[in-house]
Amino acid sequence: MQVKLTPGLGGVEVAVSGTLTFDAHAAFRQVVMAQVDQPGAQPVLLDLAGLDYIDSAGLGMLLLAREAAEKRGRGIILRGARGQVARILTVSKFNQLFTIQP
Amino acid sequence: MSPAAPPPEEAEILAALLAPAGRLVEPGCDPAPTLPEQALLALALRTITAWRLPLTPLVTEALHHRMGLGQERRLDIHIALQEALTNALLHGNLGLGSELRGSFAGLGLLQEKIETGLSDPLRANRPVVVVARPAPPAHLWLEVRDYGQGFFPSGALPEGPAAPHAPRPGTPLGTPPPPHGRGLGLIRCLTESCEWRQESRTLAMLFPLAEAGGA
Repeated sequence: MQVKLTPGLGGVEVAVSGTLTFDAHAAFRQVVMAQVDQPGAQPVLLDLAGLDYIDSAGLGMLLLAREAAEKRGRGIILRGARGQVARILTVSKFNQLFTIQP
Repeated sequence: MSPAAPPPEEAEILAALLAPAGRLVEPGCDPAPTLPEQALLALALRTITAWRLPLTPLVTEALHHRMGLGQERRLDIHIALQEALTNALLHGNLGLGSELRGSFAGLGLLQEKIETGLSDPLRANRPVVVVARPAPPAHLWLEVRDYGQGFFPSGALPEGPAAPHAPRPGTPLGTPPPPHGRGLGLIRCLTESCEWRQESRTLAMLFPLAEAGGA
């Protein structure tokens, strides 16, 4: 998994690429959670366009990120999922938990 | 005793699965696995080998080569097989629980326990077996067998959430979804049926081969 941070008007945009599975937990915690677990008025934007693969462990990390963001009064937007990532988000009904954008 | 031969690499596994027999048993599996005579594909790897390799894409690729899977079916089989293999390796052969998957601190601890398990020959050499069988008309059975003691205490598949993120039965409304234990929920959503065969420690998943038609 690779993570790219881009400052934007609504806060930092977090672009996650590669593979989000169990092996990525340390990097996800270090980089993504550090961005998510901060006060802010805007929702956190996670760009998944570069993500090729995610499994249930990766979904679990997204849920942990959502939990941390909610404690800060923020939501999470998942943007740009494609292929297997889009399919697993749909099957898992993540649209009921996150704002999902194309 | 450790096996003398090095573990098979990705190319070797794929070549074996694409060959007419479609079979591979890694030397050093303990206990020695029994593979069915009649199968489209049959593969047995040691836990340490299966955990280190991207096994799911190899098996999915071999199935696609043999059956010409549609894009959606290929994704569904890939997702379900990955979850089944993770469960078989982690909770079956390595004997680790799923409770540590609910926090990042837990995931770090789980990684340590996985490495400890993989350095224990008793657990590292337990085979995981993947068998694919055609199920006429136009279906496919995909079976994942482990040789552990854990996973489910009784014969039946435990009740799980209808949707992988939904609260488990009996959970008060408004309770956040658990960040772990979604694997079986995903498998249920992606298969036509699935069953846990306790006597052989096998999770059997039935997939339709036709595309869902825009679903």
